[in-house]
Amino acid sequence: MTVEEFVTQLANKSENNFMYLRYVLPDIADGKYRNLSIESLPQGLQDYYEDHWRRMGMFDKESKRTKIKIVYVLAELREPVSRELIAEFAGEDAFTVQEVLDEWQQFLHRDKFNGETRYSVYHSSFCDFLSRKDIVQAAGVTLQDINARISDNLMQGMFGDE
Amino acid sequence: MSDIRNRLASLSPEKRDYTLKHAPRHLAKAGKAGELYRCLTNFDFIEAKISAVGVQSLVKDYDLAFNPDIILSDEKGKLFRLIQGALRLSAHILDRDKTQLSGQLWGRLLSFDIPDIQALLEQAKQGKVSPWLRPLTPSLTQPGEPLLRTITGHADSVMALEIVPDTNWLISGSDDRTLKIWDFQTGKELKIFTGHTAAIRSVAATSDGRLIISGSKDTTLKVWNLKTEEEVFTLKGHSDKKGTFFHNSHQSCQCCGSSTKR
Repeated sequence: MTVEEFVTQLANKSENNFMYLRYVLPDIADGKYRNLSIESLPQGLQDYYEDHWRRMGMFDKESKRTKIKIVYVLAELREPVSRELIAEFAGEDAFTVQEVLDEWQQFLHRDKFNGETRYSVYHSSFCDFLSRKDIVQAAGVTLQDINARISDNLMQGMFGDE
Repeated sequence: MSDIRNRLASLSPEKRDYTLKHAPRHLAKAGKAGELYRCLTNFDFIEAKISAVGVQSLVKDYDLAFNPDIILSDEKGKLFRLIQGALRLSAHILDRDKTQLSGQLWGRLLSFDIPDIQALLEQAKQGKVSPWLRPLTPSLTQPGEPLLRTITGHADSVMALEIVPDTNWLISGSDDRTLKIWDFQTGKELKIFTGHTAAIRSVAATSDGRLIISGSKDTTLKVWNLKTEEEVFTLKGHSDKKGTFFHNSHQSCQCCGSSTKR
């Protein structure tokens, strides 16, 4: 395959979405697709997310319940927050949160704030993917529950048990 | 100090900030109408939020109650609109002095004989430790009256106004020789244009919202690019101060264009 053909095919695969290239090019460089032909690259950004979702074993929702929850908490956040606060919102320990942050790092944005790292979803298309009906269903969560979890924690902090 | 103030003070700065900024939005997305109501009718929350992030973001929170997933009784909905209206009317005062909150709420809400409003005012009173002037009659403009918001920022008389078509942008021209662009929904000053050497008497915007034109007592017209905030050109030639020029958005632009060729 010539370079030109490769570029054309990759452009087709990306469906002209820049974010697709941002994810796929480092993957190719890392050798993740070494045994694959370009045809087997995911078609478009949504497919790319779904691929990653599958590779992380997230469709196996029983064993991944905790991680799924953390990913959804990340997606519903309104601004970047620290690992500790994510752990509080999800009701999980910081170690488990760190695992998720590592596994999903290419989809996350890191901000330094007063020497502390804060995390947020890099691009809203990932949140769109997560709120897709079939994915929400497969994940066994509802966005309402995730928001209830976060808001319960916030209200508890403010109003206590009054 | 009340329990809520104590609790907020004991949170990490990150969590306190996040709570004040985003708790209402998460409550709304969780469909928790009761808790949302509790939050936004609580004086301590209102006061802490204003002091952390300003009035406008709080004013917007009350709109959350009117999204279709939130079921709030008509009565509570009306009460939300009253508090929101009172805060919007007070915004220009609170932007300068946050300690005016209690007095502003008393002066604007006192006449509403609704238990939750009276409870809010009572909380506001108890929250005051230093001496303050507590209105005994509803002496300030009430929510529900025609006045919605006061916008302040010019140092002298405002002589000309124009709304940029299809936007929330308001242009004002003042005797202080500046033009300002505001978001009239939020009251926020977005841009300031300086360059005239005397009072501005008239302003106009092109229908595409790209250019604005100002006429001044300095005997010039200036054309400004709204996006880049640059002065595009100055039109001289008048020997006397400008009055209002007639325009019909597009035509005024063509008219300016032809003057430059001269």
